[in-house]
Amino acid sequence: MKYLQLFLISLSVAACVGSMKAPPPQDPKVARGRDLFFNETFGGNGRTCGTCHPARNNFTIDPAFIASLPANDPLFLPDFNPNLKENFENTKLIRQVGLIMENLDGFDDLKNKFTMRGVPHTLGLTNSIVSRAGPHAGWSGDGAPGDRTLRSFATGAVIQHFTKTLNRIAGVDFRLPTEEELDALEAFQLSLGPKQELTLPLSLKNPVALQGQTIFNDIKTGKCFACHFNAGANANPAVFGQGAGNLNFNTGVEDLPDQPGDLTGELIPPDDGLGTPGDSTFNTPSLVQAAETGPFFHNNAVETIEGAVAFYDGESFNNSPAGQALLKATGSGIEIDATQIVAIAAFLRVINAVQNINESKDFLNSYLNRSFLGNEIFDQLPDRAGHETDDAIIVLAGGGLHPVAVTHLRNALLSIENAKKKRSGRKQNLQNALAELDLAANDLVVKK
Amino acid sequence: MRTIEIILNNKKTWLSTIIVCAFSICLHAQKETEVFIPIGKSPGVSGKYSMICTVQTIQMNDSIMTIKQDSGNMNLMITEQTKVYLDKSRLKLQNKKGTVADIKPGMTMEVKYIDNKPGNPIDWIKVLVE
Repeated sequence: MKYLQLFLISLSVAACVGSMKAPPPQDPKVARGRDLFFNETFGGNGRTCGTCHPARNNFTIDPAFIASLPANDPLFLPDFNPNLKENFENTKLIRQVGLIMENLDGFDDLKNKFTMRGVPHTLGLTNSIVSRAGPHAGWSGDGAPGDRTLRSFATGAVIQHFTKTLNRIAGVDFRLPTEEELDALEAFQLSLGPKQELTLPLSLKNPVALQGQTIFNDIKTGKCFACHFNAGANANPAVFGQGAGNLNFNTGVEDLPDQPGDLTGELIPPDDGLGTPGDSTFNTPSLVQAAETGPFFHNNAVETIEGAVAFYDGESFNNSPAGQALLKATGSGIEIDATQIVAIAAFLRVINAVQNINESKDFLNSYLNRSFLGNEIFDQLPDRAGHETDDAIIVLAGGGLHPVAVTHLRNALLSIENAKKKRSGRKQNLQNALAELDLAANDLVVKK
Repeated sequence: MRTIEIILNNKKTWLSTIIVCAFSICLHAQKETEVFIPIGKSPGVSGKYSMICTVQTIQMNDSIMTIKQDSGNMNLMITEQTKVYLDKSRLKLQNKKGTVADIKPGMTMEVKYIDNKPGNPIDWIKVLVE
């Protein structure tokens, strides 16, 4: 009983650490930040933050989304801008694998010294970038210049990705964000996605997802909860101590064989992770919206959520420093069979869908109540609700989960589409969508 | 309940093995883009953890640099980790990495020092090249 009390205390304290405060939606900085995020080029090459973090694709990019872009999209600058033709991006790797170029170890040998990384989404940042040792921004936790904060991240991004030429001269090739702009960009980003961590276990109705949750939190099998406490980005305080927050690990992703990027035949130097020279560690992403934001890991090595879970059953992980530490600490590595892998993935798919439904309802209620959400444009709220509903359908149907909920979600999507098309009956259509979303949610989780 | 007990019984083992072997505590900022940020513009640093000043003297032997501020002179320590950046942005030229040898008395520079460390070690120095 003593242990249970200690554990519960640790859980309650954990809710208080590892998070930043999200600004209220009405904060003018949020709306200002949104405008900057999607429209401001900072006098550079035409890219905006939204070029790689588009709202309509969950603030990340993947090959399927990239394939829908026109050839003159700023993502493909080397194809049509002679100043950036070489050593700025590799558009083959962008198109095929969704990888962008980062000169994290310096700009003195652009031809040979670079890393190719996927684009992490910017959802739920309030709960994913705080650590005991300071802010963790970017894939290796050291993505921001200056004071390392999310606020400062935009300055580094402008220098790396917005420049007109490879000289990267401030005032010539771009302008740096002002203090006011940095404040606004931070406020907008903190307003996105879930503001609170989940509190596991959830009362899931699907037996496969429920079993997946059990395995996720089991020290003998999944062991996922050690680094993804409550399926988030923060380390388990019962394991790493209070306030550990987001941590970096060397999990051996770089050692995976047959990585899609490498199979293209393009040059991809090894990525040494945090620091210069690096220590081969990368930070821990939240899993709450993982199912909809693949490909996975810093190098987009794995396409599906099932594959990402299966990674931890493989040799690359179990032979890695993190895998070996887990072996020493618990007496075994991670050995999970196909059914267990699918079960954990099912759990992650369901919590993703629950988040989609919650966000979709927030958008619709905000529209119907004419309440202001500064991180969205009012007239686009039904559209955003439709995107979230569609995402829920994709993540559930992709795992063959909850066909009844998927039917309700499709009904909700239809009602949203009807509301968008016709002004008459719009309110009723959106109310119908809300009712269908409630029915879908009830099919996923036992209502408290 | 069994799982919880195992976690707590093994807590010391978890901590000692995982902390030592597996993870890294981030103490780094993205220093590689810092070179392109002109003097006085480093986000969250300029004006808070740095000062813009004039070089008074440099004693290369014991790695001490004396700088002149409005409030008087101050000694700072150059270490092996100290980075030197040459800020040429006013000339509309590309900023470069430099060395301590590029720093001359009378130059204007921004110094980011590491707080709460004895001897005032310097994280980076940006030297204005005009």
